Amino acid sequence: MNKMENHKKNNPTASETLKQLISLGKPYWGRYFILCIIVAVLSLTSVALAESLRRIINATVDGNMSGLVSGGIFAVAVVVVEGAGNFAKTYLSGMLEFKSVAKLQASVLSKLMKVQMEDVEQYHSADLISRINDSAPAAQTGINEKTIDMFGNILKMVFMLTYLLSLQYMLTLGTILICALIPLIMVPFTRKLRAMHEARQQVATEQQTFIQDAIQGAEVVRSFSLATKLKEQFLNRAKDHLRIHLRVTRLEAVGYNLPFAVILGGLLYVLSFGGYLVIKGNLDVGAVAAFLISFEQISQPVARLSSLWTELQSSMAQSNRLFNILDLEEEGKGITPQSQDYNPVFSDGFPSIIFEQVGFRYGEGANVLKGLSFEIARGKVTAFAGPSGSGKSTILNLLMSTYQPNEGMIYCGDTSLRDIHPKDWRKGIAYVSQDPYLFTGTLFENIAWGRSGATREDVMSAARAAGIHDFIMTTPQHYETHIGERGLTLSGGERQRMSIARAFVREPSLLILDEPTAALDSHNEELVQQALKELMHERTTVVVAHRLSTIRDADLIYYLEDGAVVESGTHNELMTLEGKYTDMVSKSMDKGTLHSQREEVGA
Amino acid sequence: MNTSNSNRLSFGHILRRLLQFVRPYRIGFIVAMLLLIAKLVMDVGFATVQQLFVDTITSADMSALLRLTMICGIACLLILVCLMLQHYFRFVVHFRMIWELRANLFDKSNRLPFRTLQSMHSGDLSSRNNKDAEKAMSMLESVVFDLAYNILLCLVSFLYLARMDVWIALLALGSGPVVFLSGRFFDRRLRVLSVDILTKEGELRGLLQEILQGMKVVRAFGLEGPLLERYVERREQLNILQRRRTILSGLLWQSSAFVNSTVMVACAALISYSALQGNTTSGGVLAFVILMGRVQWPFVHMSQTWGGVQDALGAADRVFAVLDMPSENDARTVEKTTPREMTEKDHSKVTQKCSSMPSRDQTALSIQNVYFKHRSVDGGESLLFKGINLHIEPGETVALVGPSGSGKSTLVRLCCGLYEPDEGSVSLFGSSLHEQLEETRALTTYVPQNPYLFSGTIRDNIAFSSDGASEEDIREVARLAGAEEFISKLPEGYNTILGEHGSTLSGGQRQRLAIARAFLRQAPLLLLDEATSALDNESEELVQQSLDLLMQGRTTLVIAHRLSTVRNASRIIVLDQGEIVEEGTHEALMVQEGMYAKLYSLQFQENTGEEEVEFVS
Repeated sequence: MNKMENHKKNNPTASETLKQLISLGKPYWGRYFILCIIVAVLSLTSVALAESLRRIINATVDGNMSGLVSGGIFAVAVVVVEGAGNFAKTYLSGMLEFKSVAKLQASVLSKLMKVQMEDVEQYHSADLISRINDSAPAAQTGINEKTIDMFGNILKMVFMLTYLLSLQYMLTLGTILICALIPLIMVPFTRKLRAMHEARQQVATEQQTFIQDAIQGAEVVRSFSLATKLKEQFLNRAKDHLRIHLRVTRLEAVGYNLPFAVILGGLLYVLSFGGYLVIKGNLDVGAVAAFLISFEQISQPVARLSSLWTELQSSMAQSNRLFNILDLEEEGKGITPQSQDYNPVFSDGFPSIIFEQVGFRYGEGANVLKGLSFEIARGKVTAFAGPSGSGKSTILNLLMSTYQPNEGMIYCGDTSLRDIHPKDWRKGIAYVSQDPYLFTGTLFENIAWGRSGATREDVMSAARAAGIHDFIMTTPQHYETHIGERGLTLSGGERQRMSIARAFVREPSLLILDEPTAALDSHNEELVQQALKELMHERTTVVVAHRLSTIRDADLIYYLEDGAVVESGTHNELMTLEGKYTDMVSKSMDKGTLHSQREEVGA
Repeated sequence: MNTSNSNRLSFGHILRRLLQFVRPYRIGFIVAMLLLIAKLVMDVGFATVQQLFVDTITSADMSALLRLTMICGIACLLILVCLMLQHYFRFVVHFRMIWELRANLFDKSNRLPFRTLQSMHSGDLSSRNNKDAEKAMSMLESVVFDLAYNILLCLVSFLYLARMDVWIALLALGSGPVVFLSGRFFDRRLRVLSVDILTKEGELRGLLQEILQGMKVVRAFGLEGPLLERYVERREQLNILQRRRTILSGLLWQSSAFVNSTVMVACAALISYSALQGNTTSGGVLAFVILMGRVQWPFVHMSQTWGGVQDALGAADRVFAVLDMPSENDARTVEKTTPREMTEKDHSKVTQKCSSMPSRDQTALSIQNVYFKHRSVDGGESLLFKGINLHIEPGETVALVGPSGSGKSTLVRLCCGLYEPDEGSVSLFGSSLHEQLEETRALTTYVPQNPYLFSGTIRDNIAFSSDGASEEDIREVARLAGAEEFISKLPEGYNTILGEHGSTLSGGQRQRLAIARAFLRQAPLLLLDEATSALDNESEELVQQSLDLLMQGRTTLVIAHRLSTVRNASRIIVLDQGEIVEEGTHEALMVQEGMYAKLYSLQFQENTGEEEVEFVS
């Protein structure tokens, strides 16, 4: 799919990603600073602990009782400071992480609600969810935790090495050399590792997509007995995942264990070379012993450093996925949206909408609309009819400003739609689709979503107008009754009436109806039709339908074919024309839909 | 939904169940465990090696030093290789086990009764499969590798230490459990918190899913602001929970580390004191101090790991809560051969057999005295069917008519086992849906109103339920369903990949694919939620013809939207509030002047004579 291409296009270099990653941390510099100080103190305490142990041992060797006591007290003090410091660090970095991750996630979500619909539709929702839920935290902790940790561990190493230098420079120099080997071995792996992490995340996401699809398609899965087959497919997919995972693990197995090589090599070096020096008489045993204890302390930051490096690669791979989203272009670029309640277009009545030579295609596909020109008159009902694929739904997309025309202009009064921010434009629109989309929550909430600040009375009168009030009163908690995911526990007609109530509450200037009754049986259609009539009353309405009952009463009907208007006029005008529209109507007669029967009588 | 609290399983129980997932990978698992010894050697052996070195140095034996260095160097290399292998095996096995658990959970979620599924949010279920499964499995990792290793390390170090000074060793060892047990104070809270956090995460995922899938409505109604606010607010609730966990686990970690460090310093002081008394050498003190850390540290580590185990237990509670739910066919007396070992081939065999069998002698569909309650999300119940009876003979076409909410869709769902009756039974062609769900269900084809398509190619979407379908079969059914034309216009034809839920297709195109599916299935009983409503006129005509073809020689129960369906039906059932109020042919029912006549005239009020004309023309 397209997202795969996106992937290849968007393969920024490591430094770019790192730069972007660091930019995520900008708002938190102050906290980072505090954390760095704590981390610096903590790295000092590890030196102090080594020193206190050295004092205790020295005191033992010298047989110095008071030295032993003071050494002991010093050690306890260090331990207390360390414990407190560690807790403060854990707490602060934890807080920082939760806060910044939540903020990042919210900003990704908000970005997704702003970018072009076209771009959003390229991704499966499970993919986007994984980017918000998995990639965002990974990227943010990459910058918060991993970099600070890295800083802390480097600092620890520097302190330790300085301390060791002061003890014995010959031994230390060799140790430094050995430590320097780590980056030399690690760096060549890095690039490969990051690419693999990204591939692995991609596979994992596809798996989540698969799971989500299957769970949401529960009805089909059961009625077609797909469980066995799906499990098989699941395991096959897991095999792909495993293949990549094996490769990553192989590299990681080396990466995570390299520090042990350094530690073991370092110890061996200290013991053997130190021993050599002792035998030569250049060093005493006590010094080697003290050095050894201190060296133990160095092993921890060394180990942590190189595993951090590996983890950072994973973070960077994840942040790549995140920046793919954050870099998408937003809707209404270059136009500043007005404040919440500002409503420029609709303040003095809603003007007519004029399409002028509008051409449109999805992506690189063929032209769906070909130089289309027509007018949607204010206060009137305009209907679009035509075979599927004639571009009816595309017109609605353009009207809602979810897509922009490739050619031509759409005017609302004198203003081009391009100059109105989509968010402002949509403030006056209500949309009722074929498959109504409801949210988990109460019935009240679902209607109230129509307009922010809708009162209880507003909601109730909307429900009455939509003919759903009576139904709501039969539910156990009336308006406070919870409906499940997407309202699927309601029947199709109930859902549709809910969505009409939502449109009522909105008090729109422009009403967009996309085959509002197509998925309903005749009885429900009857109810919905009545509600719609009420809603359409004296409102500029655009309706797409192939049910005669829905379009027959329109003030103007455009018959579309292949992205162009073939016929237009009222129902009666078109019928006398005896053209394509008449054909369509008579065909729908033949089928004998309950409704077309009745409609025909009126005509 | 939130069964977590009532469903707290014991640690042993969870461990046992998780361990079952090891079985297929036990070799890798055991290898990984054995290789841990390399780590043990490294951790414990070093103290010994250091002492050896110190002693060699003290005795100023240069050649011995060289020899020792060589041996140790080789040993180091070996250990290193072992460590790498250990890492590899451990994480590969771990990974496989997670996926095994996920596969089981996935399979389970596909076998849960539809009603159970309706009461859960798909986002929550997806989240359990993703995060919770991984976290639950991490318990095995923590327990087996970390805890077991640390106990072993602790024991070995203790033995070594005890050789030097039993009393101090005992002191070090004895303080360990104190560290460990003091940490247990946090266990219960951590586990509860873990469940809360994961539940919240599931809820958040559900919210995200709804926002993203309903993006068009979100935009059209300008819901960006309020929904973002809602997300931020819920996320903040999650933050509060996470903060609590950070504080708890921070206290756990630091308190155990602190106790540990204090004990360590105290022991160091004691051993030094004893050295001062002349009981120990300075080399001994050195080894002791290093080793004591090794006795102590495991306890600290164990205490902290145990905190992590609580987290995992919380996740396991949520995972097993789903795994322990009854499956669709659990309640039924099914022989062991189903459903796992029954492949799709068997299904089609059953189908073949059934569609060809002379089933004239058996009732195609028989609903006997069925009671059914609807359960709302809030837990409220409303009785829909109160002992409903319905029998359909083979070859019949029965139309289901009734006002909204009369139970038409529910009745159809009962017929293909999506819903299970609370009382009474449903049987198809003589076999009870209740007792042999999979086999009996294979006799039905259900075409729902809103066809669900999976992300994938058009071909897969048509053929997913029939393994052996050939390319010709697929093209044939696509043609029959009137889908061939639009498919051939798509750039990739049958290989076109559909967007989420088939979003790249129009409603009519989606329905035609669903009908193509039904053609391929060839089951004798057709359950139709009259599915041509979203089609435009031309394709509707086409599809109508193919549906007629599909109904030929089959038994059909159809929720009728169309007059022609009603009139051609051999019988019309009128449902009202869960009861069959009228039954008969169109003509007979019209004469009765009951509910059907009322429904009918409501829709044809202005037109009683003209409809005849329509049908003639």
